[in-house]
Amino acid sequence: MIVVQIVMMAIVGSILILLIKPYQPTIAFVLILLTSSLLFYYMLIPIQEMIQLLRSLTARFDFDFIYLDTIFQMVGIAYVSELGAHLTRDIGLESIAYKIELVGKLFILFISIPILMTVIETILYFIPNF
Amino acid sequence: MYNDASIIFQIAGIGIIVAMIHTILKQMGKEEYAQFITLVGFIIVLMMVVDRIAELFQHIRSVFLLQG
Repeated sequence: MIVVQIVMMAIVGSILILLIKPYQPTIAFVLILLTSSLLFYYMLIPIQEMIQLLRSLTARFDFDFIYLDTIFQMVGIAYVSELGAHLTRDIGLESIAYKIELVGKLFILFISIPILMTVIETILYFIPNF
Repeated sequence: MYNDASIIFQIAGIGIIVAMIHTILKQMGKEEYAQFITLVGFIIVLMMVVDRIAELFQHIRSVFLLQG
C-alpha cells in the first residue's frame, strides 16, 4: 500500500515543519516546498500510467484523435499551475497564488484555440450559404 | 531518486542545528554572525532542494508532453 507510505511521509514532514517554524521560518518554507514536491511527484506516477494507457489505446485502434496531446497539455498546465498556487498559498502569498491560477487558465485557453477553430470550421461547413 | 524520503530528515536536522547555532551566537552577543549563519544554512538547504525541484519539473514536462 503506497498510499499509507505517502500519508505517513506527509505527516512526518508536517511535524518537522511545525518543529522548525518558530526558529527558522525560511528553512521551514524550504521543507514545505520539498514535501509538496514529493507529494506531487507521487501523484504523477498514476497519471503517467493513465496517459500511456490512453495513448496506447488510440495507437492500437488507429483512432485518428489528433487532439489528445492538446488535452494532455491542458491537464499538465492545470497541474503545474495548481502546484505553484498551492506553494505560494502555503507561505501566505494569496495574491500571487491567484495570479498563477489566472496565468494557468489563460494558457489553457490559448492552447485550446485550434480545437475551437476546428469546431467553428465544422459548423460553417454544414451551413450551405458560407 | 524520489523513492527515499530521507532528505526531509536531513533538511530538518540542518534547520535544528542552524537554529541552535543561531541561539548560541545570539547569547554570546555576536548578532551579525548569527544572521550570517542563518543565511548560510538557508543557502545549503536550498542547494539540496533545487535539484529535486528541477527533476520534478523535468518529469512533469516529459509526462504531459510539454516540450515547447
